[in-house]
Amino acid sequence: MNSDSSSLKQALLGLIPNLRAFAVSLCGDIERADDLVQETLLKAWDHLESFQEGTNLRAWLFTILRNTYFSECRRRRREVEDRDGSKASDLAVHPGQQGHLDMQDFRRALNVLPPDQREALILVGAAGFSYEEAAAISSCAVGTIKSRVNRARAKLTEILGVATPREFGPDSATEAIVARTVGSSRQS
Amino acid sequence: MAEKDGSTRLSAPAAAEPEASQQEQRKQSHHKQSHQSMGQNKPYLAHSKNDREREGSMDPPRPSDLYGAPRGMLDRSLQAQLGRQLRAIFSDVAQEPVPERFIKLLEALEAREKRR
Repeated sequence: MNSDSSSLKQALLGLIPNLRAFAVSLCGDIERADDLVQETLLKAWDHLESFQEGTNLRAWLFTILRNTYFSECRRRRREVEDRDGSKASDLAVHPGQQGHLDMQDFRRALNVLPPDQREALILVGAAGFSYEEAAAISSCAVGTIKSRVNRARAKLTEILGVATPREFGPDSATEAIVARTVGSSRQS
Repeated sequence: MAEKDGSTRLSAPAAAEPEASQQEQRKQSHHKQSHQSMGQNKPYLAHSKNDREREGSMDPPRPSDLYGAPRGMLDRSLQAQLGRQLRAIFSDVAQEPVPERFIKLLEALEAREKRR
């Protein structure tokens, strides 16, 4: 068991930065994120027998973390709904000069998304999971993940896209090419 | 790949028409209603239904689908920014060193295991 626990420790250590990044993007708060990571590590350690050797440890940990997060959310539901409601109503976010979106605006917009959409967008758009892996992590259908990602993108665009074309400056042609390139490499 | 993007509408002309006019409405309405409209924006709801219908088709997903429907230069440019910022938020934290509290936690867990 000793060599086991030592190699598990190393593997977990290596994945902590990723878990923290996922947790922060999910809940938008570094302290709460670190509490989520801590709970995830404890659960993973105590339930190692339910991890199937040879499968993706990172995906397994992400699953534990998101389950922890969402059951916490259910517990705090009313509070969360209140908060989201007030945030949504005073949203007047728009890109600053030259069309560069402020990072704070983006974080705020991300936090306004329904949690399941935010999760899908992070898993696929930032953490690099495939739709299939993201579906397994969120225990839902692949089509559900796709539609959540689409709705999340549409919603973010709607929240942040209140600029007129002129505000985006001459850069938009380049941006479009980047978008296409990123989009097609994502496909392969 | 460049033509592919533009051709989404061609392959689904019936769906593209109402969507285009919806977009017009949305652009116009953005000027007037910046504050109150976010929550109950009907064009958005209608649009997300469109997205689901598109997914039901037998066509393989295209990049333009993954990034939402093609909504012109402005939106594509915005989509690219959104993607970059999402990855930036993630990687900012992912590049931070592991906080001391987690190193200690794992050492404690390992020590507990050894005592068993």
